[in-house]
Amino acid sequence: MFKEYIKYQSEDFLTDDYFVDSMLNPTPENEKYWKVLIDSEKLNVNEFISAYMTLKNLHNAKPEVPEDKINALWERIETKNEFNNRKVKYFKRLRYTAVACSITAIVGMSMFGLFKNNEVGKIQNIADFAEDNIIHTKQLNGKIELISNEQTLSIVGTHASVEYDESGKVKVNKETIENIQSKNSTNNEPVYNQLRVPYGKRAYLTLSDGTSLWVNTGTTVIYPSKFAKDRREIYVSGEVFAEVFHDASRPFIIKTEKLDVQVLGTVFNVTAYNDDKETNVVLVSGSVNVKPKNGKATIIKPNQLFAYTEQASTLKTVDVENYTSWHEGNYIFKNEPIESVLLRLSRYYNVTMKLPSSASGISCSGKLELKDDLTQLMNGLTQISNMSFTVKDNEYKVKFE
Amino acid sequence: MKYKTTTVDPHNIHCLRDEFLDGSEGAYAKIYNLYVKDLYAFGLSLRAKSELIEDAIQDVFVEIYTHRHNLQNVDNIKSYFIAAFRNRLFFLMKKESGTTEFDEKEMLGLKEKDSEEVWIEKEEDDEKNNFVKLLYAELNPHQREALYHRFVEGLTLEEVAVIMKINYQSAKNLIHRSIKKLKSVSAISFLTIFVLVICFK
Repeated sequence: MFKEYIKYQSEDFLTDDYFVDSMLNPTPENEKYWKVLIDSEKLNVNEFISAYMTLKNLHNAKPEVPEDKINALWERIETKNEFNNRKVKYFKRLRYTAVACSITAIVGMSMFGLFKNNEVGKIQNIADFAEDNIIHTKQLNGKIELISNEQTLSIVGTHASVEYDESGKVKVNKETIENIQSKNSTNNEPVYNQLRVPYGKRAYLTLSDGTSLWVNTGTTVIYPSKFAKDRREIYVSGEVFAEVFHDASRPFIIKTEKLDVQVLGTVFNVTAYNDDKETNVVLVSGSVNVKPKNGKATIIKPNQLFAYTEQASTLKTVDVENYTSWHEGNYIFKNEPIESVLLRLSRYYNVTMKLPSSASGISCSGKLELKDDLTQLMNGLTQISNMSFTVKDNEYKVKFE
Repeated sequence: MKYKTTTVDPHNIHCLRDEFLDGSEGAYAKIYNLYVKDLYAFGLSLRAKSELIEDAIQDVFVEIYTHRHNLQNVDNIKSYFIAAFRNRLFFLMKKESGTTEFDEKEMLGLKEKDSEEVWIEKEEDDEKNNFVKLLYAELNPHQREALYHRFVEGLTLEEVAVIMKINYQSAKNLIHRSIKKLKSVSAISFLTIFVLVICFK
């Protein structure tokens, strides 16, 4: 019944399945089997031992794997799976975190908004840069403009996509722009870029950290082409909807004229037109910290609206969709004075609205597709209210009866 | 005898697989825990960098999470994971080294120098050190890999052949030659005979 084990060399043992299996998974039966062979000298004991020792040494040579690496890796895998799941469900929208908020910062200020502060230190901070460089929304001219290092790139069309990669290189409408990019490698001074989107235009901006901004009409965004190692700061005048890439080591701060919003990773919407008086922050989920320049910091909870004016600040629960839907091309409003609806539409379509001086007292609710023709939208409004209007040279004259 | 490999009752792993196919997150985690250390250790034995090993493991488990039906008709689940990991790791190593020709042997041989610290975790374990040094000095990467699958992981010769994409006889010959080579250069003392006596007491 025994094989010709007497002739076996160690390499023969180690290519014998029964031998290897016996050594790796010993049982009383296979131990007895080999013991009998050894005792009866039916195999070469030296070769047997050599095979055994080689196998033992090989087996012991298994590299050790630290437990903490295994656990860290598992977390990575779970995060990645979660990320993929969300991507499938919500596309890019909720890719980074579940935090979403909307800020409406409607800012009243003088025509050019140039309040000059004293410079502190060598590196100019972004708020000072903004005060020196920003122009009033109404002064934005016909085309979308990208300004960097005193170069200005005019972008034709009503919609532009501007994307920065990790190194600060920029693509406009998917085409790489060679001469507009960060030149801040020579010193530590950040290069601030400006994206100016006039009324009637919109843009989509990806920052170097992966944060996405939907830039609404009549908006200027100021940002470094590459963020500092310890923080990410941008300045907004107008309205943006932002998906902030999560990075706990670098808080993301959106500065506006009246308040700062600090987040770690979030999706939110800023409306900071410098010809309005109110600043609003609306949060969909998660939490953000809002710090008005003249007031104490407030943490906002999901579905809350933080409304700030020079006189007062209030916090109330709202329907967040009304404040964030624009970035998807819709405008949803509920019980809103018809005048404020018309004001929004006039910005979006870059037209003038002449309204009666006294308030109509009409509130309306509805959803408008902003891709539609403005005259169509206005016709829709006449059907749900006693409003009527006439158009002449992009000027809409509105009456209520 | 104290040899113990990460073998699982085939019935259990197939149950786990079925739970996983039904969408169980718990089963997914269990499968990960079952195989991750073996995959990682195998990667280290190839002297791959930790980052690449981790990337490859991540890719394999993320892939199977989104395409779980791939496991539907797999009989040998452990081999499946080892083979998938091996392919991915070689791909990443090749990508990193920037070689245009895909030559596993050459590629693995490139990193001969930072070898020892990978397999040798404990300085005090001289016997192990010497043996591992011997492995790297005398065997080529292909031979080492075959020995690793067969004797460290305890895979069958058939499994080794499938994973290394060679036929059964080649796998057997590879191991045979490797052992012969090792024997010719190592002096295993006859004094160790007492070990045997203890083992078979």
